[in-house]
Amino acid sequence: MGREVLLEIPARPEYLSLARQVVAAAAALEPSFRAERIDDLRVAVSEATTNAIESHLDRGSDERIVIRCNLADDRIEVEVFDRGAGFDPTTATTAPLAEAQDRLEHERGLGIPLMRVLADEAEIVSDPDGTAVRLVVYIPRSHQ
Amino acid sequence: MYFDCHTTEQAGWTVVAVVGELDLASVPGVRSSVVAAAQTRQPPYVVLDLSGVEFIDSMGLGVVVGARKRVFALGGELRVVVATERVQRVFALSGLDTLLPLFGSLAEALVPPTGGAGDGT
Repeated sequence: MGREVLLEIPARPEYLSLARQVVAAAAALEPSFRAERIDDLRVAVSEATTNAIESHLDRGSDERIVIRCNLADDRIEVEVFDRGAGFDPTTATTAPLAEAQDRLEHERGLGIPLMRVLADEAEIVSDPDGTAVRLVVYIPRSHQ
Repeated sequence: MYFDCHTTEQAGWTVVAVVGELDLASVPGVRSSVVAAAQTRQPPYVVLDLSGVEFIDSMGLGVVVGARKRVFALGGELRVVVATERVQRVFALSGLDTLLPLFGSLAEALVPPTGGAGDGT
């Protein structure tokens, strides 16, 4: 049976750490989750929540960011919802995760590629009324 | 969230030491410390010591890339100390570990700059 944790945070940078802590603590409820995968999830959640906070700040919105964390038998699923202006995930400017020298020209655009590498699944659904990011990390079958 | 950033002069380098979590909330503090460090001498020789950083995400990586650009633009050199496995992993996943001069400890980073300056004076 799934176990769900729901967190709402003000769209302010100082609440980012709290979001990471709550998700990591929820993941740690499942003893077979390796510490390294929880660390990966913390980074992925930080990326999604950073984008959410910035989208609200850009819009001047004081609405809260919603983070839903669902711990199932075989995985942890984290969804981050914002009410920002949205973006097209297929055309968003992202820095390449590659060993190219021009990689050092990119100070931004690192978050989405990192999120996709760290989570087993990363899905972004966005429209002009907001964005939902869904991150999934699976529990290794041998540990179940 | 615990975060601290302080600057010292060591062996001809301006060392900016960061402790705690490096994310959207803390990058403004690091960025302003790097900007100040880059002004201390010309050209600037700066070590960004992240050995006390327990968490970093893409915003933290971005501030490191920005620091490198700033210091390079002034003809100086930037070295980065990354000591913890979880921070090393984020650098590696981003590909930055092969592009930036990363050192495992502050002592290793404090050897003289390749530019020939940094004689401790």
